Amino acid sequence: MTIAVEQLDVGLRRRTALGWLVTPAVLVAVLVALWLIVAGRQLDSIEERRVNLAFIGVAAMEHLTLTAVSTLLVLVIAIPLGVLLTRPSARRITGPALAVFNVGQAIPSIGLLVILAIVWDVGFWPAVVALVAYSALPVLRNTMVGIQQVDESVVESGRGMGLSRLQVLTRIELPLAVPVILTGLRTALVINVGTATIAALVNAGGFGGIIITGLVQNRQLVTLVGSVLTAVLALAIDYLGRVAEEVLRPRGL
Amino acid sequence: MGQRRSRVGALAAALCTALVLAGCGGGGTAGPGGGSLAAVDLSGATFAVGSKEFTEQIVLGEIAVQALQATGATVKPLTTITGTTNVRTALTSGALDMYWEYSGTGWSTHLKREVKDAPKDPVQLYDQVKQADAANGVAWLAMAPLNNSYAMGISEAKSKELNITTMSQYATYATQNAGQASICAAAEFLTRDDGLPGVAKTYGFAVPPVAVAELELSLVPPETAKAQRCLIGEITTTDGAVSANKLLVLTDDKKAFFDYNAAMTVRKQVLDANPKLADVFNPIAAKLTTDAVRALNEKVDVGGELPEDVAKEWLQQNGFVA
Repeated sequence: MTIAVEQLDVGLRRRTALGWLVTPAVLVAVLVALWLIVAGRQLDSIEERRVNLAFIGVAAMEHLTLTAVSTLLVLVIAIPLGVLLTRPSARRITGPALAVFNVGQAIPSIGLLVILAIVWDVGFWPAVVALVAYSALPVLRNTMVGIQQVDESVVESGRGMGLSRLQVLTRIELPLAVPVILTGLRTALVINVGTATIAALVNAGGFGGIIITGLVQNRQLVTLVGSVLTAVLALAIDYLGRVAEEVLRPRGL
Repeated sequence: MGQRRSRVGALAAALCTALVLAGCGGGGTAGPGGGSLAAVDLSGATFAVGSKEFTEQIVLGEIAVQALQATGATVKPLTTITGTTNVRTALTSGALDMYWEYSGTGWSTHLKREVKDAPKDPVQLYDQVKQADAANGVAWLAMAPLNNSYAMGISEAKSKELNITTMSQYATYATQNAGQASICAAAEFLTRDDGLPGVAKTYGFAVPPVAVAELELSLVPPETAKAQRCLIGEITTTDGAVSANKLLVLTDDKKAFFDYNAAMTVRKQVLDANPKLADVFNPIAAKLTTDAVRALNEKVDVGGELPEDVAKEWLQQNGFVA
């Protein structure tokens, strides 16, 4: 799992307003193309049960909810923890803490879901736990890297100006780390959209239900619809993440 | 001196263990031996045997693999393929030579006929499926008494509490208590015409999305037993998980589920080239009763035995292999 560390090449990555419209336009075009393919086919009884607006609508809401809740939890857990682990006093627990998060990502999500089904329950919250376990690592590492890559001399000058450790953190290190942290968060969001497809196996719904039906029943159209919708959602969320990064990037960077 | 001896001892023990494990490993280089199958000679032939992903299919697949090996044939096992349609496609495309299928599934899924048009008599159903499928290049060998039909299960506790022992009673309950009635099932049952949609139609109860808990197939019996997420769940009549999870099979009083007698389906070219396959599988099919196969499934799902061992034991007990 590579860390997506944003290159802070100031100015070069600023897009024109028109440039920002390309991705949404492509995604809309893909959805329109999908609709045309489906509308042009006579669906058999099995395909009809999954490829219909009502089912897709519910699946979309479930998928979004899974993604949003798990990413929010990752944000709440991994960012503060990432900040803590960069503090000198936390030097000794950094290794073990990172190991835990590494394991969370290394365990196949479906295996984790089965274990949770046996010892706990099936449903929305176990699925969220599996998603959080899988996507927490990039956010954690990006937070740590984001803070650690802040230029030492800037931190020193802050200390020299009389700022306390906490003020250096909140006024210098965190703002400078925001772009990298946001990239990590965006990565986690996109990971969660993809991983949430297995949530259908434990009654948590989502687009996975469409994909699984297509695979089990050998109906390529159904598989295609489920897969394309998941991919479009992932790309849309990635796009919104980039917009957010652009908007939230501190002035002067 | 003592240290060296114990090290040698440990090495010897490790070697012995490795040899024993190597001897125990794997199912299949049994050549022709005693037993009735030894009389059939298929040496030199190679067959690819497939199966679906649930326990019964894996056990039946193992029986087929070991039976063919006892005749001297070489067998390529391709078991545990997920999804009926996928196994069938593997058969018709030539990736597989044979697998055990069920008459009801042949009718509704492969021949795509209406559930309501199916003959009520299991033999008639089988005959019609066999005749029609010949046009698809698939031959059906003799039908087994084994009838593994879909059924709905309920936890024993809930059955007593709500006095539900038949599907009609469930339908009444579902209609009167729209919020509380719910069903656990996996993707295939939920979307097949002879699955939940057909059942709901026959018994006249509605299935709003909130009343369905879609789960991975193996999670359905335990969740039905817990009775929190759903009241009834998809099972099959010979499923070992039924007794493992203390579930009660709801009586299908309006016969929404029709018959699913097992039979070996073989690609026509393979059967024409090896007509002796009928001599292998017809006697085996005759001995596969619903109760016998349920017992085999329970050995795997409840007893924790391996499908290969269960298959071997069954073949030995019935005199097919030595």
